[in-house]
Amino acid sequence: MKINLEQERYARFLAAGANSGLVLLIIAFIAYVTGALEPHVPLDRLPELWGQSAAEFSGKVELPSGWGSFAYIHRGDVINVAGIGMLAMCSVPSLIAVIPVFASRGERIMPVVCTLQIGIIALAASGLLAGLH
Amino acid sequence: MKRRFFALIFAAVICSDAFAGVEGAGAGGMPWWAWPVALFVVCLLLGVVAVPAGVGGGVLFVPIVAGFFPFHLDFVRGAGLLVALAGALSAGPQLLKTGLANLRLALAPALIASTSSIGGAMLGMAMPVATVQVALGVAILAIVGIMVGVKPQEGYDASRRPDRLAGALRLYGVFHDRSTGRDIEWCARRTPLGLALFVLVGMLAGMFGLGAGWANLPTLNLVMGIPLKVSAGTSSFILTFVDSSAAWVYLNRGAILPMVAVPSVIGMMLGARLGARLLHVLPARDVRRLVLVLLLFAGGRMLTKGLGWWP
Repeated sequence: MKINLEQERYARFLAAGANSGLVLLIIAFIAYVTGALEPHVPLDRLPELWGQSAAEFSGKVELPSGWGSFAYIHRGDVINVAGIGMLAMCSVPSLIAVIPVFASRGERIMPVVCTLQIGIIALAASGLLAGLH
Repeated sequence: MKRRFFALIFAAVICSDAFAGVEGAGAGGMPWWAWPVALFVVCLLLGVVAVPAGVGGGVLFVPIVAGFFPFHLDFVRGAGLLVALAGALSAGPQLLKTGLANLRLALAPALIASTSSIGGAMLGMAMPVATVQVALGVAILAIVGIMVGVKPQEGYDASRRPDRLAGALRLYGVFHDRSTGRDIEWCARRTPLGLALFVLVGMLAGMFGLGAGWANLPTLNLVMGIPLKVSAGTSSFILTFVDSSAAWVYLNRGAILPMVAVPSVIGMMLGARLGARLLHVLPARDVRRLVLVLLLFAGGRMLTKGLGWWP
């Protein structure tokens, strides 16, 4: 079956992003649980904390949430969060890759839809909305 | 053999609840690693049954783990989104390459649903836990109703024309069905209504961390008139956008705990691969019934937990 160029390109970029993200996540998790990378929150302290809300948890462990935790990237638990962020971001390169394909055909709507989608993911990732309630 | 397998799944879920009730289970009664291991085992089993039952991992994960494990609902919803996202990311490339998912068809609904999923996630994080539990219980019971009552449309009327919006977005194409060897021309209809429904789909996905495959499929198939196989593939692919946006809200609020999320993702993905291999061995109808019973039980558990009847 013949697949459109944009669909084929999107699939290739998505596969590369998803596979590398998952592999990195598994490696980071192994480093975390084996203690190869020291965690910010000691593992044996987790059971007393994971029943509390995210806000209470962050307050008790004195770890800024979102991009603020980037300063602690050398910690086993924080690098796992970074790996998860990579997975949540891997649609963006795929979208960027297909915009020129749509545009080269003179299409106007699909490049705009792709750009808006990138903007929405970037807005969610930016943390700008985290302060809103 | 079948009965033993189904009994094992039920026992795993019930045992986790029994341990959750043990004095000190969350504080030091059990070693720290016992819960992640239990979570991995339960997710592995849920992954096995999710494939033959035709449901996504997220819709099973959130009510069962929130109902029977000691983790806060914030972390369970965050992990639920990641379970659904990881599954969709793994399947996405293959679905696109085989034409079972259609990129063009996915993009507009995905944009709408991912935007509203951000609103849903923010709303869900701001609501009191008991309110979310009650709403989640009601949503799960409604999903059971949809799974039982709404039958997907297998046939396809090729004489239809796309509506104006579908024409402008070029939401039409040809799907080659390998099982019949036929090419099926398809086009979207009732596109404005379909896109409007994706606002609701995204809200619910973000609010409860459920993924959204359970709602995407009927919207694409029954409302927009897309052939069932293209609807199923595209529905899964749309999750890569919806769950990414909502997951970032949870990440930025500190609601993703690697010790909950990563064993869940790995367990569910391994289970789904196992489930795909066992697809010809496991009786799909019995598995679907088991999943419905599990969802009924977990939905009821969430409802009673939220109402304070069964804390």
